[in-house]
Amino acid sequence: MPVEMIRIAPGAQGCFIKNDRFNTTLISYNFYLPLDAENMAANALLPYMLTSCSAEYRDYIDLNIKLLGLYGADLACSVSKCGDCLHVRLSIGVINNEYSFDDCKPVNEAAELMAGLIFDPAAEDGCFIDSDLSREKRKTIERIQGEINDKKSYARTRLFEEMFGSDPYGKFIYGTAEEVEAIDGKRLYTARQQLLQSAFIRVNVVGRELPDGIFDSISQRLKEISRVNITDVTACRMLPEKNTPTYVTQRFDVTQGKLVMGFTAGVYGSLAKTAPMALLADIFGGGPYSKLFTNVREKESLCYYCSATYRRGKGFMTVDSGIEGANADKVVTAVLKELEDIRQGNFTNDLVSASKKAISDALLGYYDSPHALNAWFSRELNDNLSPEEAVKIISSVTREDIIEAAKGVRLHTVYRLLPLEGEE
Amino acid sequence: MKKTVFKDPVLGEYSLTLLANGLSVYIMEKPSFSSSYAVFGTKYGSIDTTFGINGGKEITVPAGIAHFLEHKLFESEEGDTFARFAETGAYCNAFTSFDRTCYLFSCTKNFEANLDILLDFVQSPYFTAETVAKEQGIIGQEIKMYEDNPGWRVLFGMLDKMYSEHPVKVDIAGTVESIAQITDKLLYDCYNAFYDPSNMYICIAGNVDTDKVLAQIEEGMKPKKSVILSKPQINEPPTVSAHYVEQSLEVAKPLFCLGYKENLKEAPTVKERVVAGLMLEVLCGDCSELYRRLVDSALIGDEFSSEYFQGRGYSVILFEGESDHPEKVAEEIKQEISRLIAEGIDGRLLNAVKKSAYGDAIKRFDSTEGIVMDMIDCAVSGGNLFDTAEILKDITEDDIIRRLSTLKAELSVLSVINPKRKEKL
Repeated sequence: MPVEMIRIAPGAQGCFIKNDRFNTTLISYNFYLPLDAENMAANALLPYMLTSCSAEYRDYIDLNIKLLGLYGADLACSVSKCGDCLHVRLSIGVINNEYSFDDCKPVNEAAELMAGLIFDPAAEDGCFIDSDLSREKRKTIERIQGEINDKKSYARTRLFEEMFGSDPYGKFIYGTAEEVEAIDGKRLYTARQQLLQSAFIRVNVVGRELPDGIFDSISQRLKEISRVNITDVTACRMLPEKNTPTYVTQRFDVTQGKLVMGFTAGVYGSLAKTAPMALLADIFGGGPYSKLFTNVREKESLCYYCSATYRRGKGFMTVDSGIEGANADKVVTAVLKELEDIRQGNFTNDLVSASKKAISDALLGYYDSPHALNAWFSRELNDNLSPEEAVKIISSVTREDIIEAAKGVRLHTVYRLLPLEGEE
Repeated sequence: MKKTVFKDPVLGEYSLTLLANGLSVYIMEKPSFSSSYAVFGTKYGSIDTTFGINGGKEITVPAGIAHFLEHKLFESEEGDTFARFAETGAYCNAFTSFDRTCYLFSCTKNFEANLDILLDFVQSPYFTAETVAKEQGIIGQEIKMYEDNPGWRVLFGMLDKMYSEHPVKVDIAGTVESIAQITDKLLYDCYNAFYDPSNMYICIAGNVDTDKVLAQIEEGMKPKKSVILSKPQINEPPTVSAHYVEQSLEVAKPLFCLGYKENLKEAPTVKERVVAGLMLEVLCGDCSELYRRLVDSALIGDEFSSEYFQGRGYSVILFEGESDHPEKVAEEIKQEISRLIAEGIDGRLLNAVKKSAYGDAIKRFDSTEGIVMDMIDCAVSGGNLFDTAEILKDITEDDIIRRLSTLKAELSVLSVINPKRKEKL
């Protein structure tokens, strides 16, 4: 599958991922800014503001009607952490022109619409408009407050806060309700200018054809902006190891407890460097063949779910589990025993083989999903590996590499969300 | 074997083959794709708690058996199914809903070997008193997990007041009490009744060869004494037991689920489902007047959604979201339904909504999983994959108004989850 990468401005790339199998085209603007606690709330609010209206579509309902007219184009945005960067994404997915039954060219119009949302926002005198801002601020505050509704995700958010302390990686991505409340139209407009001036930018297009002149047009727009102090997307401050792990417990009126464990992994960055750690996390708590699933969940029946995730951008691993409150200590012991087993080489070659096959199958499956391809090529910023190349790297990892990786893993923080005392 | 091929000039073609043993097999070849997705399913879900076989007396079994069977089929006398899929690298899973149980895998390699495993484990029940007892503990934990899920609880709060007889009101996994009554014998009885090929389907989309796959499936079907299954009509009264119900949980803001009960005896047709979807977009989609009013008055946020929730013997138009004033939202919805019936709908909006629905139908074919999920709908509820685009053309403003008129305030239930604590978390 050909991938064409072109420079469209300093620190800005256009990436055309040609794929004939889809009936749709996905256009995705990806911006990367340094994770910065002070500006995180404004930077996270920004894409929601930009995708709600524009100078051309002043009213959010008008914009929604335009999307319906583009055969139900899917306009979306998200914010996430990518190593020490904040990744801001705005994307639109639309059916290919040949499926249109009127004179609308959905792909070309979607490309123009996206450019309008980003480069010509609804603003007056360098300020976003109050009525739009109030609406989007309210929704973001509800997003912040609603985090508690999903205890699994809330427990992970709380672990990150405890584990990373003053490192901005630990901060909840939308900031606090108070911070959002304090953002005014000028402040948010300044955040937009900062994004266009300094963010590393990658615009991905996944589809059969590259819309005419899309990258030239973006390049022209970016020429009007002084692009300085471009974000270094390779920067990462890894968390130091801890000799004595921290345990935090919070009690809620819930039926089932959640236990999340955070580990420093001692390695971050490119897949070439982190592949052994990725395999370690997978045999430890990836698929249903993993040690946590087969032993802690199935044999010992200690959890309803128990899985491990390695975040190579920041170099740490988490274990998430749903537990009976009374089993909290037993689960920690059981999880650590499985990790120790790997350090001691107590795992079969079949397990390594199963893990390699499952990871490879998942990677090759990315070619069948526009969103998976976009996600892959918006994370692979430095090496620009294809999923196929990633498969080769994963395949080359040895059992010794995995044992060595396990030796670098240290428990750092344990967060327990438990039922009220007396109700366990 | 009886094979029918369905063709669409834009979307391609797929086949539906009825095997001699009654199994329906749907296959869509997608040769440009790297992966394939396959489901072996049965028309057996949580609502099928009363049934008869071979004309005998109907029996009623404890709630939660369909879901319990889903868990247990992954175990066989030889060992664990996950371990078999681990050797091929496929992703495998299963799910149970109100009217179906499905076992699935997706893979980029070893399709044939994976299909063999799927065919084998779904047709190889193995239960003992000991393994049943162990599963009762695991599923008990799963039930508890859902007890803390506000979205789940608010839905079942509504269903509980809406239905007095229909089993749709009971959690898909059952209750801790109902699953305690499950035995290995009950599992075998339900398996033999519902896992008959005539009640089952296989749906596949991806990089496969139809003829080869059909031959492999025919060869992989195990002999089974066929049964004639009957599912009785459920006598659900055309009333609701309360219009309002509330619970409290650890949430930040109240959640609501507003449902309008409809008294359908049969599951709705494809056209009825399409009309309901368009009606909801016109009534409260993000281009509607109602949506603007609710957002501008800060009554709803991002979480607001609507759905046509239906199956055998149940039919509900529902609206869900978060709001500090759920009763005001419910009142606004009720008034908008009346206004649209009295004043008519905006024809331009309906046309735009139809155009969008056509686009959605095209997009579904970008995903082998999406195609297979639509095939399952066809197997369970009828219709074919290419119906939507054709049906859309003929739907008029009158169809939407008629559909709106079926929503009766006296058959509505508002379920609310209130925050347990007053202070901010």
